[in-house]
Amino acid sequence: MSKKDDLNTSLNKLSRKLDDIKTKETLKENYSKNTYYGLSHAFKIVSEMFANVFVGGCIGWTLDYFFETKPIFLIIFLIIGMISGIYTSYKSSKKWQK
Amino acid sequence: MTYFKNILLLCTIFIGNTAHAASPLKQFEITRPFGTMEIAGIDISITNSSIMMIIILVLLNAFLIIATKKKAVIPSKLQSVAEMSYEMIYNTTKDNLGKEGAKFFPLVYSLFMFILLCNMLGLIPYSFTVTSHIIITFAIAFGIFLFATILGFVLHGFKYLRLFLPAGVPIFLAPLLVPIEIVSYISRPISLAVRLAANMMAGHTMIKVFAGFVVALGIFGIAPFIFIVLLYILETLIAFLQAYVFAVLTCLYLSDSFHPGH
Repeated sequence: MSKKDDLNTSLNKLSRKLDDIKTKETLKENYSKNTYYGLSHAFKIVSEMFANVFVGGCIGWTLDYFFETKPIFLIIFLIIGMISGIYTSYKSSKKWQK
Repeated sequence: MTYFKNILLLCTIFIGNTAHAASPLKQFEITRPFGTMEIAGIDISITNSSIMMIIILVLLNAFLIIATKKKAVIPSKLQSVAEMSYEMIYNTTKDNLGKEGAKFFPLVYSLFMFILLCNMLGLIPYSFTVTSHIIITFAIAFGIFLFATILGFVLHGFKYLRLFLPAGVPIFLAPLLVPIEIVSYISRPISLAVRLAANMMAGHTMIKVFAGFVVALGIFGIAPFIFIVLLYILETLIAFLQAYVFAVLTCLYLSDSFHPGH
């Protein structure tokens, strides 16, 4: 009886050890994968924020140039560009988290 | 504090004096080693940039042909590198575009390999980084943008414009949301181009500036030297990462032309 108990306890120990190693390895894998994707995602967001404001400014300036309404469209589209910069990065973050 | 001041001063000297041979911006200069050629007023001379691109294309083709020549079941080192890159990009394409979009895999793969080699070979001293010029990255990005737009209109007709008004949005929000979506759509090629070019240029300029410090500081130049070695590791990572981001975003933009309104 005691022999069987010993065997059982040692088997339990072994399985616990194996589980520990398994979880550690998956954690490691996930970590490296997440940092890798996270870095590329960060690059994406930074350039999106910049590019949206830039494009908004360009559209506003062009409209002003054609309609000769000097600062109005520039201001409106700069603000739209800022909003859309944050909106796009929000949207892509939501997509990324899935 | 004075140490940092001196470093700042050195920085301004090195960056400001572009005519100097050790200028960090000299490496981005376009030269014409075979003289200028013109056809009908258009400059078509072979520059160092185009020579580098030809070298990259030859190397890329040679690498893939040699690596996949044997088609061994147990791959050699070269073959396993080729297979790894193939598998990685194939999985990314399939994840983002689905089975139907896998036919765009050749486009994404060649883009990825070209940009990766441009970035990596640019890290070799005295070579030229093709992707550090914004006109090159913008040309690639704008090509993808035009292709994705035309593909969307071909696949969906005018329903493709639904991309600018996502499903389930109340109609009174449309005047606000449509300009935002249009701005964010147009900004795609610019964000693609600026990200790649700016990363490449900033990294190379920084390495060159610190290389100038090594010479200027004499025996204490060992500190910036160690820093350069670490910076090179980071730059290698960034060179790979930028190529990967470019490929992933190409997939994302193509997937938008497959399924607009999501």
